[in-house]
Amino acid sequence: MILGIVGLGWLLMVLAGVPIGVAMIFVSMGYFYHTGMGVNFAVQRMVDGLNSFPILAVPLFILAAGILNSAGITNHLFGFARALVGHITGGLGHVNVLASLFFSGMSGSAMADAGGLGKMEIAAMRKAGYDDAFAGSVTAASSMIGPLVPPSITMVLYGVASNTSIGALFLGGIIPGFMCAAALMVMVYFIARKRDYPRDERQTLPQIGRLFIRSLPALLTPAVIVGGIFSGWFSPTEAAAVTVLYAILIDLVFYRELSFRRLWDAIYETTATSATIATIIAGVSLMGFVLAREQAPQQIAAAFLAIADSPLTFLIAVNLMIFVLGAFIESLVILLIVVPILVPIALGFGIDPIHFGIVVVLNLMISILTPPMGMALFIVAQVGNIPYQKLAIAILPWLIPPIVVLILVCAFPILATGLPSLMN
Amino acid sequence: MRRYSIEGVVASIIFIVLFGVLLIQIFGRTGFFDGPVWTEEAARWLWVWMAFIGIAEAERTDSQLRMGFLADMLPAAARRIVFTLIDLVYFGIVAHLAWIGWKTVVRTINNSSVTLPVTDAALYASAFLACLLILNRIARRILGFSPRQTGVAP
Repeated sequence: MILGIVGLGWLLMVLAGVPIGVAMIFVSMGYFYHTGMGVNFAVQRMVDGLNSFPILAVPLFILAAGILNSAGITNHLFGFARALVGHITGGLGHVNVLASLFFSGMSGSAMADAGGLGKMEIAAMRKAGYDDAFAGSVTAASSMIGPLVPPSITMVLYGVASNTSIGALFLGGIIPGFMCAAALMVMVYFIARKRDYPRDERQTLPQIGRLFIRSLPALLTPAVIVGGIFSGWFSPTEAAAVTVLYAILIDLVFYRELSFRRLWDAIYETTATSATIATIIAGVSLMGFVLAREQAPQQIAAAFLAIADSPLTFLIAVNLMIFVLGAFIESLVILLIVVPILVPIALGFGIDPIHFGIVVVLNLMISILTPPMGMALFIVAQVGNIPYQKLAIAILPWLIPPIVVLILVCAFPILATGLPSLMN
Repeated sequence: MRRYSIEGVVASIIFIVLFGVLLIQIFGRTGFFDGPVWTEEAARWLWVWMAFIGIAEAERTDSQLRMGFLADMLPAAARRIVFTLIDLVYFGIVAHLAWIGWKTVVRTINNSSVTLPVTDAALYASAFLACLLILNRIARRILGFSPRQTGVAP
């Protein structure tokens, strides 16, 4: 009963416009006032929730993406992608997906992809004669690759929430990330052929080579991160710091577009963005106590055990739940509140935590594309100046490729666990 | 609205120091010099400080993550009332959290940090100070001294 009131109260507040993290603090404090328990330790719980070394990777990866965007490195990646696949039917659609794949190796955030690359991609596609709905949909859909390929802020948070190796999660996301890119490119190809979209002229090998060399320092970022973690040189948090250092160094040596002012602005914006995530983490720390006290994990576990009798049926149930929740609730909240409850049940079914993590992250990335509350849709609509309603309808067929990949990853765990096992 | 604020600048400087501490930790382990033992704890504490001070900046720019599905459907006048009510509740709760934060500082003043030469109260003071800064920002929003970014005039 109380649990229902807490959940409903939070949802109503969020829908009424209370910031997501603040609404968690509101309902938790309301619970503390009502029960007379826990209120004196509210601040301590919030501080302790944030006082985590792995979480530190989040602001650092956001900063790395901010520096890469500010330094114009995204332009080089876009140029290289265009030279590689611009001549295929649906040219700039493929470029859009490939540039996102390249960018995902440096940024762990779908929002950084949608906001950073998105504006440039939509402008280029518009200029070439693509319609807004197509350009916006490809941009939004391809941004979901970002958190699948390392580095990944979502995986860092999943690793923290579920006590799973972040390095192994990074590796586990690579194959599903590439599969999503491939699936989206197939979709682009068929739509472009049907609608007779334009394509670029084929570039010569020396031209591609020149652009490749120009982009190479940026393209090597994931190798630095994954290589550093798996060679034992640094932890995921330290890898995030190294990524920031690397982004600054490659700009100083190769690109030379990052001014002191731009660097400062990237740091300043990262601080504010990280604070909004910190508010949610602090809110989750309080609400987590309320949920634990009201035995929410046990109740949810019992509900799942009543409907699922095998790992596959459990995964189907989890995916349906995240898919439905994701259409209405921010993915970060699902990740931090719901996932820690589900992980022990998944382990009970014998599901590999890496496999479960990749399934969850993949599904959460689909949820950023799902109207009415798709965060990537909001950003693409804003940067591309496309009406939200138009984009919310146009995106629907673009959910099919990632859903197909999700089904494959659920059915074949090796797609997620293969690379981590190989490295171990 | 001004582009920078004192909260944002302080939080950004803390972030730069935090980045420096992490570099000391990384290079201290790679043989360039003997790495100190306090870096991990210092980095965590700096992050907590940066996050809490940064929340005040997020309040200044009204950029907290929100959905506002129902609020967006309301007419402007009703929306203004709803957001003012939210801010009033927010102000009350943050004021109480500031008080709890202060009591936490007092309670932990004699607890020593594991590796840093300071008391644990220095960590919890971040929340206390942030609550005061957030109160200032909410009050300014309620009184109409700073604009709302959520599509509602102050």
